[in-house]
Amino acid sequence: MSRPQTQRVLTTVVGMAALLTLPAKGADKMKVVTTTTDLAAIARFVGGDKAEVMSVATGREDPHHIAAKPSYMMAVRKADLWIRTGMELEIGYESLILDGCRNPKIRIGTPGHLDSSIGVLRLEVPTQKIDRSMGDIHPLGNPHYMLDPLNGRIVAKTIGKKLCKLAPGDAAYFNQQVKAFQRQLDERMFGREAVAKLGGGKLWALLLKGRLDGALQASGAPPLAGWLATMRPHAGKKLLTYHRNWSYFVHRFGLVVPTELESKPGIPPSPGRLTEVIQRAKADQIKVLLMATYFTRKAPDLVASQAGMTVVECAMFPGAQPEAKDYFTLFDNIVNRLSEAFGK
Amino acid sequence: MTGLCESLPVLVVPFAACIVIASLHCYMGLHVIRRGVIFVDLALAQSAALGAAVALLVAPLIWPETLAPHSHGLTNLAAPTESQLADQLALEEEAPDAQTHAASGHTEHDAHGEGHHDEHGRFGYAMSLLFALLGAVLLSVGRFRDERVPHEAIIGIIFVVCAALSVLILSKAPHGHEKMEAMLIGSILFVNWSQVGMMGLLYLGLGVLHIAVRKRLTEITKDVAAADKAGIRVRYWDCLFYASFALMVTQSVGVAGVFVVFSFLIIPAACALLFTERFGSQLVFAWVVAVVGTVAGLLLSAVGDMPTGSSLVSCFGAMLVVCVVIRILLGKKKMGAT
Repeated sequence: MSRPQTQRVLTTVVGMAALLTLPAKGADKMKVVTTTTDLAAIARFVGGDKAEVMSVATGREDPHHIAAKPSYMMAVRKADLWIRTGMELEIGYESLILDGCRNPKIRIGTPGHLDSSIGVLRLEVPTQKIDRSMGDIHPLGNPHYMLDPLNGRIVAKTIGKKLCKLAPGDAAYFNQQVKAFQRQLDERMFGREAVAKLGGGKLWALLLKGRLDGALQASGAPPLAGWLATMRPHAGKKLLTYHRNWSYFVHRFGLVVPTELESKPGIPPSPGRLTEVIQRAKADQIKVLLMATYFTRKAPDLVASQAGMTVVECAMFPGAQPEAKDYFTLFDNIVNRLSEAFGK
Repeated sequence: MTGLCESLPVLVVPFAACIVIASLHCYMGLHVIRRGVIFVDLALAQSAALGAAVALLVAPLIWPETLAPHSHGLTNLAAPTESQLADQLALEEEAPDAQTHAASGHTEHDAHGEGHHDEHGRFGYAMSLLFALLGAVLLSVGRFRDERVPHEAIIGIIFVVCAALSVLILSKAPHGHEKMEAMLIGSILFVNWSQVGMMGLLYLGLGVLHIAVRKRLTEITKDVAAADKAGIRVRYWDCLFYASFALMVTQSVGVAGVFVVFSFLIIPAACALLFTERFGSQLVFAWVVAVVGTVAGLLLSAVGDMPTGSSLVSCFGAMLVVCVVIRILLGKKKMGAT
């Protein structure tokens, strides 16, 4: 063959080889976009290697408001599934994003839109008429439900069901992932031994009905470990919070929050309010002030120094602090920080 | 570069919005700089923001958003009680897939007062406009004949007081500080075609008006004292100028935020003034600078994945620096030649 011909053949061969070695463009991976990072963490686990998950939030910001960036407008355009926390947490920006990206697959009401609040345990559902003068009250209840591990467990199942519906061929895989997630969560909540002896579902049922201790004793008392064991000694203790976003965690682990720094949800405390709170903290001997990382520390620091409290800054979402990398370590972090603060 | 290619469709509408904003703002900016009333933009933008803040607080009183939490039948299905959950969980080991709780993926409708969103939106816009026009009137009336109190002082005072009042009012509204920030930074990434269209129509109308009265306005801009002596009713023309300015700014701040609007107004005009004397060439130069700045800002936002409004402002700032440097170099060349 002449030189030019050889060159042509070589180029063609190399070109075809290159094409063949290009990774199959993840055509089978489902593209999932969530609003908050806790949902993304769960979706990542349940979706496994069959889903590409990203979240619109970073975890470090106030979940009610998101700064617009081009990258996620694009990701949302190509998404197959959109997952939101719901209960109007994202009401400030969800329609802006969904309308702006013009993706018909994920509009509200389509199969590609998932509200993960279906089936979760809700707290603070208003029973009477509410309006803006009461502050930022969500009419469907407190939307920060992901801070109860039980709800994370339910959400995993909800997401799994949705993934199965969208990709029925992988249903067995997703169901297996959901079970694995639930098992890991249960073990972190109750400890490996208790779960092995009684089973995660049963342990939760017993906890909800208040019959956990009795059942543990009856079955040969495997020791409780994990989050519940760590927080048990602190049940009934009082703490203050900045905003009413810790209700679910507090409810699950038996803590008591007499009041928040904010006089009404979403409205920063006025000087008069701060004085009131300081007096309350002193009167009730409250030692811990819990706040999410996205609030400024000025007011909490003032109140804490005047009333002799410790300020505990905790990530409310994965990504807000380095220790909180996913849904499990999120709770590890809160449990560790709180128990340390109470222990003092 | 793939990231950039993917970004482009998302940036088309913001680009169109920026071009529409630039069309009128560059022209107004030239007047504003020559008159030495740079901060009139901030003062009027802040008045508009104050109007929006007042509307936010007042609207729920006029159209109460009473929300009835149990008005839609999905509530019971969607929200189990603890004991219901306990029963389901107890069954989990025995029949893992026999759960009956409603995870059908059906999204419940937001209970938020859907009927009143439109009224609130229109009311907010009307109030912004009203307050901006009030600010415009204050500004034209507040120009003292003998400049006993410099006009710029009045402008600065209006700006600061409106800003402080906005903060006070929003401190009573939930998530008020986020709304303040949103007014400053804007949300140009989310702009839609109908907003661009409305803005375009309004600016077309204002543009025609200004073409009609350009002689008078230019006379006053060039020399206020002379115009006053010549018997021109300065206050009346000022009112017209500031009123049209208020109309322009209320629209653009709602879309792009105070900082972006200020940048579009001042920076291209400032760059133009460095290079030419004639009004016509200044306008063209300013438009060119605005387009280049827009492209750079949007590219920066896309490639760096950063908030679009702030990227635009940064790039406009960079444009000014570049122009100043070029000007200095050109000046040196001229001196070198002679």
